[in-house]
Amino acid sequence: MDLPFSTEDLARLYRFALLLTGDERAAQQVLYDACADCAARLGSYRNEASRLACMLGSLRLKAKTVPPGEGKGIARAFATLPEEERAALAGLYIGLLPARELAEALKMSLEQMGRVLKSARERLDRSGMELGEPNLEQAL
Amino acid sequence: MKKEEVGILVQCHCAGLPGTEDPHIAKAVRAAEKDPALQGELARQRAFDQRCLAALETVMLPQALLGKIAAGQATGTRPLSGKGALLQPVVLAIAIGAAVLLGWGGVTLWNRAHDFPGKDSAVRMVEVNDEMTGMEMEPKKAAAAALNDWFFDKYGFEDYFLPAGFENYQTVGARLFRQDGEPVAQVAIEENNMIFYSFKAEDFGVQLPNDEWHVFKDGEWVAALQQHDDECFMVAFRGSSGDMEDFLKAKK
Repeated sequence: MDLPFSTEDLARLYRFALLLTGDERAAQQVLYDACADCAARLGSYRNEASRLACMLGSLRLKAKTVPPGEGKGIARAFATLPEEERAALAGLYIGLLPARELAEALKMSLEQMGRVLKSARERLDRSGMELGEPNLEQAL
Repeated sequence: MKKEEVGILVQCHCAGLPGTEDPHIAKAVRAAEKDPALQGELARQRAFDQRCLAALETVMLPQALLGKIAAGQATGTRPLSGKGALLQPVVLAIAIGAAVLLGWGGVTLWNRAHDFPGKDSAVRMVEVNDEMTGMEMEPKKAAAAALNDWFFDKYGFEDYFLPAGFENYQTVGARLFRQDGEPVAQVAIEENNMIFYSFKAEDFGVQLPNDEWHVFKDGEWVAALQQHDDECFMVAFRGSSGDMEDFLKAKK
């Protein structure tokens, strides 16, 4: 497939897929499928942000069809989050899109995304304790 | 910017990710850094994010997946051949455009080949049929040739003309009407619902070689016109040009 993304971009997209699915095998399949689906459309987008938003949207959609995996490390921690919070925080952490564009890609306002991110951070921080770990750093 | 708004927008900030900062968020971050109540919260958020980012950095793209993506076929960019290629929107658009151009070009060429002086008047005579109810004509059952005297006796029309082979068609009605002030004899024929017309060539500017048929279409009607000296005869019926060609061949 001829994709307009660098290897570093693909690595970030893979991390996004991993945080959404919680499973390495599922993340690989979801990323491959999203690449295959989006490849034909990517040429019609005028800028890179739109191409990346297309990929994030496709990844998120496909990840919803995958049974949640238990995962390990950070993926295991993310698996405890509701899908919306998982997608928002994963999208922020992979750093592919500016926050405003990320909010648009997630179909929410910047303020809505701020609230979702606040809830996600708090829940994720607590989940480290609930998983039997003294804190998130050890859970990761 | 209100404190509550600052607190929400700061959540969209993630230190250590260059190029992801929005000016609105950057302003909120500056406000939070100056606010004693928000300073601690921001610091905890930054520390938390740093730990997450550090953990995420260790996640590498599997080389096997990279190779699979590079070698893989996109579902939308699969090389197309045969029917699939022909059904592509761009190919379809070109094909339809070419077909329209060919069709238009064909019609234009056909029209030019079948054009002749006075054709517009002949077309209008045919178009009259669509506006008729049948009541305009006087019922007249006779052989077509027998109407010569009837047109002269009733209308003083001396130019009723029938080519060879049309004399014996049975008529069901006839009339003389005027188009642009000039007389046109119109006869309804029983067989095939045909209409015969007879008129003077110079009245309508018709100029054709003697006894040569000229076929033209007008809507669902097809007509064939020929001139003999200064008199014209036209036959029309509903059908195609091919139907008329076959009809005229049978007359020879």
